[in-house]
Amino acid sequence: MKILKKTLRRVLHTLLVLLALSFLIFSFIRIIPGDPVRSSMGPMVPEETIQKIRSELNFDKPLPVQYFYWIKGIVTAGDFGMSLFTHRSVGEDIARYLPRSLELCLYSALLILMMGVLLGTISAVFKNSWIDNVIRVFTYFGVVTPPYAFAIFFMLLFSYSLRLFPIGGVPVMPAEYVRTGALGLDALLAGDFALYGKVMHSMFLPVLSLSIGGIAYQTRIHRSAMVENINADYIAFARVAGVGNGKLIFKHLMKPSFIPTFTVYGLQVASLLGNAFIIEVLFRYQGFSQYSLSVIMNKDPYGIVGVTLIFGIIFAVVNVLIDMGVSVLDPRIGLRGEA
Amino acid sequence: MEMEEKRMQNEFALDVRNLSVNYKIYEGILDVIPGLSLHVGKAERVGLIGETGCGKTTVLKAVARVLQSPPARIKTDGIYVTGTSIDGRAGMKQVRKNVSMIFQDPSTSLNPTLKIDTQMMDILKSQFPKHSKSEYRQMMLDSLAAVSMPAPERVLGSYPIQLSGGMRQRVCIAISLMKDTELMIADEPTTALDVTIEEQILELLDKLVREKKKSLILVSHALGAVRKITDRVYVMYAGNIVEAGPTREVFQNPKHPYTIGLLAATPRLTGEGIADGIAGDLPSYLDPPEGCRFALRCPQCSDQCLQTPPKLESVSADEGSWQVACYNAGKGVTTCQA
Repeated sequence: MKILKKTLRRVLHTLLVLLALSFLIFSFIRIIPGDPVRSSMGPMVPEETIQKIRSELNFDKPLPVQYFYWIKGIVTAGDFGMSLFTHRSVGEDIARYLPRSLELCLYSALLILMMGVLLGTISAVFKNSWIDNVIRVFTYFGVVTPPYAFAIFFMLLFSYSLRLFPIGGVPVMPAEYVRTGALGLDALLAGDFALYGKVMHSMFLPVLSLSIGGIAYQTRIHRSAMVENINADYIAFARVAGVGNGKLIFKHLMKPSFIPTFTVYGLQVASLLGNAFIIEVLFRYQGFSQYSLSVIMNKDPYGIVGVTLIFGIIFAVVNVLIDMGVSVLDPRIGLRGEA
Repeated sequence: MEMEEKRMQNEFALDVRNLSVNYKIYEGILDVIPGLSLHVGKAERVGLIGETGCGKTTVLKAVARVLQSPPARIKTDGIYVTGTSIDGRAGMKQVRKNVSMIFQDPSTSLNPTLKIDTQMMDILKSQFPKHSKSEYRQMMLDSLAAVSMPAPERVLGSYPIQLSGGMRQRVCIAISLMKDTELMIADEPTTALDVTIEEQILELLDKLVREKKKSLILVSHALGAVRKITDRVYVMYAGNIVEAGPTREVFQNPKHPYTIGLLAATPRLTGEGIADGIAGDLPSYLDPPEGCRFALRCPQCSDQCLQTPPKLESVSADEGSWQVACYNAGKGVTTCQA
């Protein structure tokens, strides 16, 4: 009951934040000089047509009224406005490009979690051994090197020299396969495992480049959390009491160490989509990032608000999930206010 | 000679032979324990007393194999629990099987993120494999009942944070009792608890150890409790044992100047005002005095004390049951004139 109430309050809170965010972005875009309609139509279109489109898109009304119409459109019809760049509804565009990028981020998130926890655990358990040193050197490089540097390096090494992976692009999806927009998922839904393999093959380098910094950071956090807890009294107590090494490390030590790990992990996942921008461009992976870049470059008002809102929603949702996850992991937080 | 025989027959629950512990730090070497031997007989209750920082916990942690090493550098001629060495991998097994330890602070000795029943279950599973879930549960309830825990069902489903300090220490004792060990180590089990609970916990510990005929090594600042519970006592100062003997006699007629001072520092209900302390502090472990480590605080220090450290020597009629490490032991000093 308490948890439900708490979660509900968090969701309401989040909606308010998103509302404020959308209004800010909505206003800021209007401050940018230049007429978006004119710049999207080109100099040859007559002024009357421009004015007609402006009034169709409500651009001739005062800002608060525009905002009101925009919100009304979302609430009543799920309509996020029209993109001046693609000439489609923004909602439609997002639905078309976002799943692809989410799939990329999902694989990256899984890789970061698995590798970060694995390497961090090895590093902590064999603290100061040669393997710990190797891992720590890797994490220094991983944290300080930007993702695009890895991307270019991998392209040169694996694609250009070794010819193991495609240098960019994704396999063509047959039109009848397209359901969700996520490449791998669509291939799986269509039961075409050969295509799924191809998709994975082409996604390998983008996912790796996107994840490596996160893996390095996650490894460091997990290692330090485990090293800190390994000297705790309760580990010594459990050890003398007879708990075996495996259980001691993977349960009694892992669970409390997961609290900082999980918090940092959430923030990393939330920022994956933003980090994917440059990766998607480099690997010509036509997803949400490329769409976002285009709408921003073209000063497409509804496009920019829609894209920004997606980032806001992802951050907000992940934050709520982190809070819920941490209170499950750490009873000291979850039980606060109950006693 | 008698000691050697007992060793041969494994009559000691715990036998620590010439343990030394030091730490290498930036400034040099911290010589915390220069060389210490002690033993606990079967079903014997032994106290270990001395002021904070004298190395009591270090000794106990070395025995339970939970002293972090490195940084600690441990050297011994052997530590034996019920006649088996605790050295190496096999030794760790021996510790897990035959040593129980209760730590100072119950708020840190239970895992904050696991429920009590989970923590107890993992220990039971490792000690008594292949039982059914309900059997394990019954074992847990039994051990909680043994420490007179109110509402054991509720305690099992709780996280440590939901229990009071006294309840947590009862849980810790219950956990230590679940294993059928001969040796029980209690490292200041009541220091973190308030005075009303302290009495209860010590009484409980005493009762359980007597009932189950366990050997106990108890570190405590509650000297009254040590006097009541233990048969024999070791007095430690700056990493050395300075006096060892039957509790009753040592408390009644202490021989080492440090023991005299330590006992005089205990406030008594019948005494007048605040008890006497011992002036000065523990010497630095970085550069300990060459002779007796207590010399600089000692009211009857002689030239000899400053040069060579005294060895433990028998002061009782029967060989070796009461030993003191002092050149001037029992030469007329009754209280510390500090």
